[in-house]
Amino acid sequence: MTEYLSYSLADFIPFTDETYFRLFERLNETQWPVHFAAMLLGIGAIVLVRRGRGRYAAILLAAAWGWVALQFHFRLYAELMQAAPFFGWMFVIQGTLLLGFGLIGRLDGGDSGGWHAWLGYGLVAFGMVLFPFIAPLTGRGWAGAEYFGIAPDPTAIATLGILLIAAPLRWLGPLTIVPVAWCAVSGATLWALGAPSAPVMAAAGGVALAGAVGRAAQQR
Amino acid sequence: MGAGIAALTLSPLRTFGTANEPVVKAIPASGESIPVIGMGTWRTFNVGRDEAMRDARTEVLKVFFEKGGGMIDSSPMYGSAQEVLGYGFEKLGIPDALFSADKVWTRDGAKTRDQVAESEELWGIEQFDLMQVHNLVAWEPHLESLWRMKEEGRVRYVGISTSHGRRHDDFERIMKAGGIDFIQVTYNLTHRDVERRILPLATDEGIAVIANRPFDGGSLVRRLKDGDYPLPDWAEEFDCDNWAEFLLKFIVSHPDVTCAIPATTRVSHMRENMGAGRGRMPDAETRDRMIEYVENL
Repeated sequence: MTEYLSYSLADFIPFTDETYFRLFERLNETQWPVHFAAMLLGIGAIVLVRRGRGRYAAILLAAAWGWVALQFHFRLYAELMQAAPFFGWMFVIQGTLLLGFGLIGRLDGGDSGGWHAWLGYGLVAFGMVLFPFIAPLTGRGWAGAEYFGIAPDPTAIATLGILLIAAPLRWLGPLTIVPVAWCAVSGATLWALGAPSAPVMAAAGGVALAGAVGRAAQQR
Repeated sequence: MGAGIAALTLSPLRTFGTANEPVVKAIPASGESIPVIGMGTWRTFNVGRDEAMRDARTEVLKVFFEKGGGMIDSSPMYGSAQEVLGYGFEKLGIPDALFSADKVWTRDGAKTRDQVAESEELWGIEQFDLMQVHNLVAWEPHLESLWRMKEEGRVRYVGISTSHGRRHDDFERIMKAGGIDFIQVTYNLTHRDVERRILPLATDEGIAVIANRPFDGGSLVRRLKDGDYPLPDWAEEFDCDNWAEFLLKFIVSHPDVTCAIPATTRVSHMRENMGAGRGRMPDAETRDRMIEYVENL
């Protein structure tokens, strides 16, 4: 047992930061111009939520999660990381949950006026608009920028935002497990790689979690 | 291993060389000599199918052999590293100087031969020089199979590996039981646990020693370089020009250590690493001075 304590987080990351960030450049190279469709999908999701049609927004989000699972986890990340297919299945499960909850009309019962909803809008804006700026701001250039519906981190953050705005309280917990878990996994990976953006994912997951807990406390 | 590298050092206990010839040490089990600076592939060669990065690693590989390198160490645990090495050898050809070292890493003790065969295919070589049991995972059945493969001429040397100072008690037991040609352990200027028991035991048992994590996963050499710490003037006495050479010469000048396997992604760093395998080496007194100097920085 004490042997396991001798391992550090970095011992489980079998690649360098250069190789990891190059994945996003490759993702952008091979996905372009799907970025436009992903952006429209994101904008469409938030517009639908604003109009009280959360079930359709959930279906759009499900598509984004399925696409990221396929293109990032199963296709690219699996080249470097043995756990990548597991992460891919996490994303597939989240997509299926969103699709299922959307189809049975469960993602339209939020309270879009509360403080947690504004927190949700903040996360959506951060995930969809600001997140791509992280790569150039941390010296990686625009080629490696991460976009909603293409890369996992902004997809998870924006989804958490929409869930805070639109998910009924009883479903908020089950639907936020995978995105929050991914924030933790991604934050830990970035931290082990010594990336300056590591705190961003931890903070985003923490904010979403605080919003969900706060909303539950307020509405009970 | 080819005869292209000039073997100046005849005894594993004496290491010195000239600026033009790589320092080599003898493998106790056979007397065969290998250069004291090898190359590891953990993290650095796991670049997937990215052709640009594969080409960059091939350049690193090319410089390694141009500068007199020999041993390359990998493992099925290192993601795509074996496949990327295979890509490099396809471009460069298999150098005569290559001393190929890999590992068996599976909990299924019946899969030794299958995994060795898979690794050979990924590297694009006919057979490995050295096959080690990675982190002692299912070591009993794997060692049995590897010994049989050695008898059949399917592998030349058999070894065991660990890192970060783990399972040294088991290591000692296995080393004393016999049949081990190589051990691979963590040894660097700030992690010297193996000096007390493992290294002397290796010499007593006639076992070659590979030192992994020579830069403590990169953090040690980064700290010294980024901190802009000056090399001591007396580093000239053992032909040392930079911190990478300082740290590597400390390791390979230990009389019980056969070679070190630093890993790098950059050609410039590979040149620095390979510089450590040439020229004069520090003696015991200087090695103590090296520890004291770094500890006081």
